[in-house]
Formats: sequence, C-alpha cells, structure tokens
Amino acid sequence: MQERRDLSDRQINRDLLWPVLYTPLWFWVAVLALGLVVSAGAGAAAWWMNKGPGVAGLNRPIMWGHLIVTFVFWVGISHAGVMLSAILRLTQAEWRRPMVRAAEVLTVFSLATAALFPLLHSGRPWRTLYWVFPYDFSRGIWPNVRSPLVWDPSAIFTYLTGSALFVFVTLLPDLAALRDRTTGIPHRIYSLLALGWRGTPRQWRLQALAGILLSALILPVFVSVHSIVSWDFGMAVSVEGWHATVFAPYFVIGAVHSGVAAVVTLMALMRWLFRWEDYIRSEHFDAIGRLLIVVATAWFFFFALEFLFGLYLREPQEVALRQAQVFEWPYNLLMILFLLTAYFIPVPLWLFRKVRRNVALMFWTSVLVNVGMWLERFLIIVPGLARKQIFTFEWSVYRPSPIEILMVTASFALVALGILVFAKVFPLVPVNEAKEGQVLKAEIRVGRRTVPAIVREQ
Amino acid sequence: MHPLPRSTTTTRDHPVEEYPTSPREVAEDIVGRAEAPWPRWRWLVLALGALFLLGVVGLALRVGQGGDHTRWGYYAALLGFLYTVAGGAPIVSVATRMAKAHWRRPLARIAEVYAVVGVLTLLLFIPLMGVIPPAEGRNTIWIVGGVRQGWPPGAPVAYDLLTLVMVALGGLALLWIAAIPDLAALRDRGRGGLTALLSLGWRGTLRQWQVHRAALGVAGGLYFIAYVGGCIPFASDLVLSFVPGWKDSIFPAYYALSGLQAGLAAVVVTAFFLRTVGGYRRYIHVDQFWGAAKLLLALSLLWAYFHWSAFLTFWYGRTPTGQNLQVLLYFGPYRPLFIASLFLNWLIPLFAFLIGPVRRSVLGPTLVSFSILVGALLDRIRLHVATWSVPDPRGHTFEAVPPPVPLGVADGLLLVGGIGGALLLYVLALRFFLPMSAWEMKELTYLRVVRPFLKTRAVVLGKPE
Repeated sequence: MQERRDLSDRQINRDLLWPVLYTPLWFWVAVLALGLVVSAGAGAAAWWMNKGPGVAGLNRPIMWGHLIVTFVFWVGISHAGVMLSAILRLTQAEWRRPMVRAAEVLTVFSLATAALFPLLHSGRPWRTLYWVFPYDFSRGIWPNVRSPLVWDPSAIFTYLTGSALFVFVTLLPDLAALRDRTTGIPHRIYSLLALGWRGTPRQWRLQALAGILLSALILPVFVSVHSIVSWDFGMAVSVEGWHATVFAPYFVIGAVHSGVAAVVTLMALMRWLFRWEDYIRSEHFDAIGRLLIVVATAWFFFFALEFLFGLYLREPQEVALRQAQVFEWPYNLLMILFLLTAYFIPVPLWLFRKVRRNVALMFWTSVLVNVGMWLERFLIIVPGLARKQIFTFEWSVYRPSPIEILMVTASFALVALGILVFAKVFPLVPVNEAKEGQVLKAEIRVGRRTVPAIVREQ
Repeated sequence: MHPLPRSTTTTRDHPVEEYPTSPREVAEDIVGRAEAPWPRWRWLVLALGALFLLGVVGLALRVGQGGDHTRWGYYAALLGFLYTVAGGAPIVSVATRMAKAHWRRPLARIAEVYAVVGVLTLLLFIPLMGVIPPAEGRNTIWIVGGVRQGWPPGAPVAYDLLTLVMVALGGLALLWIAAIPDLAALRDRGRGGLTALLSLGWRGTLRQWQVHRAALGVAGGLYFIAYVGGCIPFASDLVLSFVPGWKDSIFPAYYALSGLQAGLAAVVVTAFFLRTVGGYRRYIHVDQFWGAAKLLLALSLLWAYFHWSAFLTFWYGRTPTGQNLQVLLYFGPYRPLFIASLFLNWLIPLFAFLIGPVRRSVLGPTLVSFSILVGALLDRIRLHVATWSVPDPRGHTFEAVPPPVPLGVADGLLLVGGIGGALLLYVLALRFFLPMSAWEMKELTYLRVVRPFLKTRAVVLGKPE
C-alpha cells in the first residue's frame, strides 16, 4: 500500500529546504558532539604520526589491523551512492527519488574518510608520494604500476571526483532554488554554484542527460574501486585465504550490501530528524528492504563460494586457517557475530512486509548489517595475516590499541559530521526529484479499486 | 488470421505500441490458438524430430566408442549448454516478476516453458554417470574421505543427478503453477485429460488468486536457489575437478551467470520468432526487446568482469598450475573458441547495446541474442572439452597441457541432435501450455493505459503495491 500524498510545489519547497534556511538547536549540539569525537581522533592520528605505528597493536606478522579494516569498510559504504543513484536512475525506479542525494553524499564522505586510512596507516603520510608519483628522477624511482597498491589511489580518487561531480550536477536546480530564497553572502555563493540555472527546457534536458551520462560512466569506476581494493589482498599468494578468484565480485557485492544498509540507516535518521514523513515513506523502506534481501543473498552466495573453495584443495594451511576462523577464540565468536548480524538476523526479518515497513526495525537491522560487514573485513584480513609465516612457532593474536580504536570511532563521527554539515548547506532530499515525482504520479481505476500508477518516463 | 496491431500513439520521442485493450479480447485470442500455436507448427515438429533422431544415432556411436572420459567432452558440453540455457531462461521470468516489471508479461511464459528441457538434461546425464571418474583422489567439493572413508556415498554422480532432478522438478513446478489459470481456461473450452487435471479445479476465486500469487513467489524463489545453487556441484564436478589443482571460487558463479545470459538470449530469440512467424505481434513489442537488451548489456558486462577476475588472479599468482591452466583455457589449442566467445558474449553485445536505436529495436537485440547463444555454446565446448581432455584428473598439480580433442562425427550429431531435441520438447510444450500467459496479459490490460499527458500522450502503469 502506498502512502503518497498530494503536495504542492510550495509545500515541497518549504519542507525540504527548512533545514538549510533555519537551524534547530539540536544541530549545534550534534555538531559539537561529533566535532569533539573527530578532534579526539585527529589527536590520536597526530600521536600516531609523532610516535610512529608502534603505538598500535600491530606486530609481525599482523601489520594490517583496524585502520585497513576500516578503510575497506568505508570504501564499501561508498558503494551506496552509485548503487542507489546511478543504477536506480538508469532503471527508472520511481522509489529512488527521496534517497538518491543522501546516497550520493554518503558516497563522497565515506570515500574521503576511507582515503585517510591508508595514509595514516603508513605512519608518514607525506611519504606515500613514493608509491604514486615518480618524483625522484635522479635515483630512477618509479611507482610500481603492476601493484594494486598503486591502482588503489587512482581508483579511489577517480571515484571521488566522479561522485562529487555527480552530486553537483544533480544539485543544480536545488542550488538555484536556494539562490532565490537567500540574501547576502549565502545568496552570492548559491548564485555562483547554481551556474545561472533558470530552469529552461534546454537546461533541464542537459541536466538530465548529464545525470544519465555520469551514471553510466561512473558504473565501471564503481566496480573497479572495490575490485582493486580486493586485489590488494587477492593478488598475494603468500597469505592463506586471500588468493581467491571470487574476491573482486565478493568484495563488490559485500560493499553494495553494506552501502545500501547504510543508506537505510541514513534515511531513517533523516525522516526522524527533519520530519520528512511525507517524503521518506514506509513504501520506500519496503522497496529498499526487498532490494536488500536480494543483495544480501547474492553476497551470502559469494561468501559461501569463497569459504567452500577455500577448503576445495584441502591444503593443510588453508584448512587450518578456516578452522581458526570457525573454531578458535576469539575468531569463532567474531565469526558467529558476523554471520548473525550480516545475514541471519536481518534477512529473515526483512522477509516480513511488516518489518520492511517499520522504520525503527529497518534502522536497527541496517545498523546490524554494518556491524557484521565490519567484522567480515576483520575476519578476512587479520586471521589470514596471523598465519602468514609458515615457520612462525606461535601464531600471533592482534589486539587494537586505544589509539586505533579512537581513530576508527572518529571516522564514524567524521562521516556523520560531514553529512550533517552538508544538510545544513544543501537539501538532502532533491527538491526537483520530489516535484517530478508529484508530476508523474497518477491513478488507475480497476473495477472498484483505485490503483496508484506512474507516468512512464521515456 | 490474426489482426495487425492497432494504430500506434506517439509520445514525445517514441511510438507507443498498444496491446489489446479488453481482457475478453486477450482471452479469446490467446486461448483460441491452443490447437496450433502458429502456422506450419506441425512441419516444425517434424523437422526437429528428425534432428533429434540424428542425436540418438550420435549417442549410439559415442557409446560404441567406449567409456574413456576424454572422448565425452563434447557430450558434456552439450549437457552444460542445455542445463545452463534452459535452466537460466525461467529465471528471467522469476527475476522480472519479482521486480514487478510490466514489460515482462509477454515474455514470462516463453521463459518458463524452457523448464521442460530440464527433463532432457536429466536423461542426457544418465550415460555420463558411467563415464565421470570416481571422486577418490580428485579435488571435488564433496571432499570424499575427508571426514571418514567412503563418505559421502555416491559422490559425485549421485549428487549431480539429484541437482538435475531438483532443477527439472523445480522448473516444471514453476511452469505449472504459473500456467494454472490458463490451463483452467483451456479446460473450460473443452480440453480435458491432463489439462483438466493440472488445472486443479481452478475457478478464479479471490482466495485462489491469493494462494496462486504466494505459490508463484515461493516456486520462483526455490527455483532460483535450485538453479544457482545447482551450478556449484554441476560446474565443479563437470568442469573444475577434471583439472588437478584448479581452485576457482568464482567459476560456479560464472557458470550460472553465463547461463542466465544465454537463457535470456534464448527467450529474446524465441520472442522474435513468435512475433514474426507466430503471429503474436500484438503482444510482443519493442518494449520487450528493449527491456531485455538492457538486462543483456548488464549480464554481458558481468560476464567479462567474472572472466577478468579469474584471469587476473591466475595471471598474478604465477603458480605452475595456474599458468598451465591459462594455456589450456585461453592461450593454447582452445584459443579460437575463447576469442570467439569473447566477441560473441561480450564485445558484440557491449558495442551493439551502447547504441540506443539498436537497443530499442526488435532486430538488434535478436541478432545480439543469437550471437550470445552461439558464443555460449562455444564457451561450453571450450570449458568442457578442454577440461575433460585431461587424462588423469587425480592429484594436486596440473603439469602438462593435453592435446586438443577434435570434433568427431558422433560429437557433431550429438550437438545437433541434442539441441534439436531440446527445441522439439519446447515446441511441444508450447502447444500444451500456450506461448503467452493469458492471465498476465489480461492483468496488463487493467494496469496499463495510454493517456494524454501535458501536450502528448504517455503510458501510465499501475503499481498496485
């Protein structure tokens, strides 16, 4: 059952632009709280750089810990934007409208946050230039272009640039709306950003075309980003459990799973904080819940393939690794938590329509998914590294230091803060999309019933 | 005689073809053709029957040449081709029904009827049961003897047979459930026997429709699981495990995906045939080809992505087994087949469907689909013949690339006869189940209307939920 209402253009403007034009008290409280956490994380990062990576719980053979796990996690979250915005735009899914902007913005901030982690992990961020740029001609030092570690920054920055451009292009009509409703310096800034938008038919046509072209162009980048992240691991023969052909699609579909779940979390928060019940409705949660069932099940299929074919050759080291993941403390507990939270609790719940249409339940189940997906990345990276050296007499156990925990926590605050500040400056639900949805809304009489309908976009 | 389509209305850029407007008209037209789904139907049945007989001769020749598994690669390729194409086609109906895409309606039955080919794949597997080497000493997903000696019993053939049975039964159940309202319509027009029995006393009450809808959802979900899950044992037992040391976790997913791509291509080619020769022009429009083309483009991209993921991992791994495997599958004697399938399954669909007018036409998607089907057959031959040519599948390393196995007379007859037999079954089933889902088309007459919209006319689609 759809719950859409007839809304006038004036009402849509008022409802969707109020967070930009007026500032509630809770906004400052939230910014202050998140800012404190981010500051603490920045302090931890400064400490890390001053003292070196020895302040972390890293030790041979586990040299990739929480920071790299969180890097993979945030890259995963960033896949929400393209999945929901580009694909649903290309497939003309009507229910995409209220969530596309939030998904795109989540992409930008999570990707920017993800990019920080390899830099911080290096301990000397400025030295990462060695990896990427051929700056030292005299010594003949060149980046190793055959290394996935060099492909990573290229893919991430291409995706970040494309996503930011995507957000900007789709924002243009809303920027013009804000330009027409502000005065003084904000008016000048919005005027500059709106690029002289007047809403002429030609401008609309170009804007729609740019959106479609960017959607199509960004799709290969979207797939390449997490594939390359997976190849950081998958190209290494020396670490058990990593050299698997399924890693690239497994990482990508896992990223989509966590990213779409993160969008659900964000949608619920937007609905509660900005009182957008008329725009983010239970039918949208229903639709995205159905999408999540499909995505989660596809992800689980790839997970099963990865695990099953890990055992396929019955190589003793690989079997020992799988045994460690399933039976040995603390990985066994993490494995159970991971499976329960990423799949076995949320997906059976989403099968029920009542759950899919319940905003609170969708919020909490989507949070659970991302707890599970963070654990998944941990279980891929750490146990494999722990058993990397064949002759190690005692397998190492990795425990994160408070510095690492603080930096990881701060990354969540940083993404939240970024989105909150964005919402203060730009509308998080596209005003033009909401209006277009109203125009294309229709009804059909079937017998004694009236069925909601849409005018098909050509 | 079937009337030509009505006059078309035009939106801003594109013509909108109109479907029949009244449910009665749909029922009378579709159900009324039950005796002969299209002109010269019997001639087609006879021709396909003759092809099938050639296949029987080929099978007799193949059996007469002994049970050495290296000679049965083409037969396994035929089985793999039919399993994935005919198994993948009904997924088109399941997936698009789940997505509530209206354009699926004329294609739903065309896709579901492919499930009857599952019976043929089941029969084709029986001779292979005596040819497939035992699992002892081989790397298979059954890990024979891993827990205790002789366990799991009957691996791998018993479980492969079970997989094929599940897929065949699941597909038939899906087809049957989807066809119940139409079978009842045929029953009411005097067709008795099995039709009346299978219509289960359908009267079209509200309760029956509710149960039907739920059953269709469950059958679709179970069939999807059976097919995709079934690709794991099928691909690993009939391809992967023939090469010692080949560990490829993406391969079952690739096998399932390429089957979906070829299955959708088969549906498109069949739809073209029904539109042009079968007289179903009023139901099968550009919309159907356009929708399918977009899906085919996505599947073609995934086809290449899965290939690339596997290729790159072995390329970077540089293990002796990985390098020999790449020679066997990509650079060695089967290179022409690989290059052909690369073009037919990826490059041709990609570049053709990037062009809007090709995507949005009847002929474009049909030609590309035909290319995909040919590519899928060549790909299955490459995979099965190359891997089955390894003389001893036991051990943990793949040390020597075997010489290629040429196509013999028996193999040629088997390929032609097997595909002919599958088409024969399909054509016979079309007559029993009707090529078009009358109830879904009737539903469309309620949920799709053409209305004035601003300065033009546009299609309005009902979304009941």
